[in-house]
Amino acid sequence: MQAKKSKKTDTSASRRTNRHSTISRPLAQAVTPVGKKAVTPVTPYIKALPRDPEWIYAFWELPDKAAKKPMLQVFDVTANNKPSAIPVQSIEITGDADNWYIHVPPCGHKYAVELGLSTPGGSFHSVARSNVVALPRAAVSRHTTVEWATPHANIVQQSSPAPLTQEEAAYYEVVRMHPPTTASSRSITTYLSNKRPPAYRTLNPQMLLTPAPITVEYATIAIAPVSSTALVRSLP
Amino acid sequence: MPTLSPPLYPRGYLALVLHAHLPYVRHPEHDYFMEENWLYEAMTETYIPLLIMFENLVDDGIPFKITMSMSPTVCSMLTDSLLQERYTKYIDRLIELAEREIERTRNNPAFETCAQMYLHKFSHCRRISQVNLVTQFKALQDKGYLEIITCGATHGYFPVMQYNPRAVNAQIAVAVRSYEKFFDRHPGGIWLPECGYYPGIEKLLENNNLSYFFSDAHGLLFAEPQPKHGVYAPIYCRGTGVAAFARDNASSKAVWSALEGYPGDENYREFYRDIGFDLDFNYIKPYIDPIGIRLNTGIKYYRITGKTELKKPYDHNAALARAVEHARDFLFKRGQQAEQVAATMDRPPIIVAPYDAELFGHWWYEGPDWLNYLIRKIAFEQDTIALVTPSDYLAAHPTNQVCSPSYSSWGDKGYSDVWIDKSNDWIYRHLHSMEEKMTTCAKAYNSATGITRRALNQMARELLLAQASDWAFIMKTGTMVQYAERRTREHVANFTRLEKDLREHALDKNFISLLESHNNIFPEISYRVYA
Repeated sequence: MQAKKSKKTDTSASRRTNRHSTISRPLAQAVTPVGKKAVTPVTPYIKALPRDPEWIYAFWELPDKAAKKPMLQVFDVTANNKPSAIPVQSIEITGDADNWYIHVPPCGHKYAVELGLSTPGGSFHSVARSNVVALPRAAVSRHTTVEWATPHANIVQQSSPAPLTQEEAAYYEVVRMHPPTTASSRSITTYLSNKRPPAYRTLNPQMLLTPAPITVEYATIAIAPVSSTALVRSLP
Repeated sequence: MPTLSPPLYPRGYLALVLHAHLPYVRHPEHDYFMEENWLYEAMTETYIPLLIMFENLVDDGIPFKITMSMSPTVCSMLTDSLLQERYTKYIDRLIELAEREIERTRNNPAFETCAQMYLHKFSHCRRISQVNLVTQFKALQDKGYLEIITCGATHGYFPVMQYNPRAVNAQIAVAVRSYEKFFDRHPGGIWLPECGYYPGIEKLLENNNLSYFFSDAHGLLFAEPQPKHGVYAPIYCRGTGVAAFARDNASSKAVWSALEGYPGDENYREFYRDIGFDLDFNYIKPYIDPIGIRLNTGIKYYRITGKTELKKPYDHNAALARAVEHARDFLFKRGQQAEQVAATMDRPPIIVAPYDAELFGHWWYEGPDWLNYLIRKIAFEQDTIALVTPSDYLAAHPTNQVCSPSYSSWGDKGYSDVWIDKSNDWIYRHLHSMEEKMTTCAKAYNSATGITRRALNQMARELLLAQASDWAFIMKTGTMVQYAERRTREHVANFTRLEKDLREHALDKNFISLLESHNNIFPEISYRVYA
């Protein structure tokens, strides 16, 4: 069994103490202490993330530990995402670990991890099942068929901004009320005056590399900025 | 014969990509906050020197094409009035220090020349910083020199949120919206934070009208089927029209590697010998952390010298001479590379060379000069290589192979080992829980108004800020860990309280206002992006 227990993150007060936490007041008191444990109690779950071609990182929440022993079963679901009947690995969880690094060679397979409890009789009682994790192959593909495409519409097509949301309309309205003194607010007002972003240039290779003539004078750009904080506060 | 127009038929293309990103650090609750210096240092040593360099190229009539990704957090900080004011104070203090240094080093010509250089550069920084830098980069894009692309809204690492596509989509959609606000146009492409690609993200990119992204070399080399041209041509991700460009390993190594790469040359400036640590405490006290912690001031007098503690004084002109040599070497090697590969291809190969922008100037002090010489050499001294941006390349070569790239990142070991590590893995249960709650709330409230809407929007901001890949990265690398942990905890706590108040119909207007003024990124955000 090639499973590696992750080390607990030390969340002791001494480690958290730093000069900032002593001179600053936190913005909010955490409702529950925010450390390694879940923010609020939840129904049991297990999640899995692909770390690299051979390792899965799984973490879970198991509110009722009772006297039963938690256990993980790893299933290879490479074929049609269907689990094989027999787990490729069974891992007995030691201590009060709530996460595990699982070594699952070879590369390129898909897995699902089940969280369960082993009953005194030795059977496995499944509590939650993870998402399917697809691990990369980590090698050059043996397939060499070449297929070409020319989806040029994406490049030459002119993209327009989506319609304004309620938030944006309100934000831009505030900006409109202020004289456009800053570069950023100026760009917003230009944006508002229905000026569409320029289309991607349809270019030939020769034209591509010739820059447009210089027309912008920096001296014309105003300096004093409008506080964006003020803008936020004015929102409804 | 020298030419000022790019070669009509280059043997190869070079796409230089500079990725500018810093986490959102803004603390109005303190007069001074050490981590805000990350921005000020990057402005002084990277963003402004790059701007000056680009401007000089434009003034000299030199054609160039550079791709830059500017993360929404960087753009937001560069246009934030509080941070702009604080930068002016910061640079004024540095100017004062440089003046005192000229006085102090009067009897030491080598140091005095250096001090003069710093005073000169800092004065430029002060002048240029009076117009927000985003506008100045935008002007270079509008003139056709830069192609600026976007990034994840807060540089969230996508592979760890892939099982909640709404969360990934929000990172992309909020970034695109923010980009449109700053640059008055739609972004052509995106820099996937940390080059973190997972199969399926291309559909979200396409939904957001993004045409291309960058992956690390093995993202393409291990694609299915095998790409005919390897990393030397982009591919379209199967089922979409989104192109993936792959990083070239050789050009990366030349610049990235501290040992074999150019930045390790003994003539270049030594990063780790700063007067903030070297000089008498009472003298330097006004220019370091007010509570007396020594830190980098940006004034450094030594060169790398070699593997010795006895560093020799820095000679800027000698360093620049090395930068010229290194630019020549880089160009020569890219030319060779292109010649070798071109023979086997039906089109000129594209060599994609992406770097963290902050490498240039901040870590590698002469980086912007190297880039300057490289661009000038490309324009004047050869016809083999032409600079290109991805959009230009796709317009010229719209037909490309269709493949499915492989899960990958540009982090250590090429996958997620950096961001899923025993030092930081505890954050994901919180982030996943927040992502789920956010989508549930967004669906539950179709068209919230008033304070409910504000609470939901702020929840979205707190979630995005908590997702920044920087926190996990810092926890892994082990410097400034407390700050990264504190930021994660704070955003989780803020989000949790807002969500609880919302559920219990007990929203606290003052609390929401406080958060809105502190964590004020994306004023235009709408929580509906999660619905």
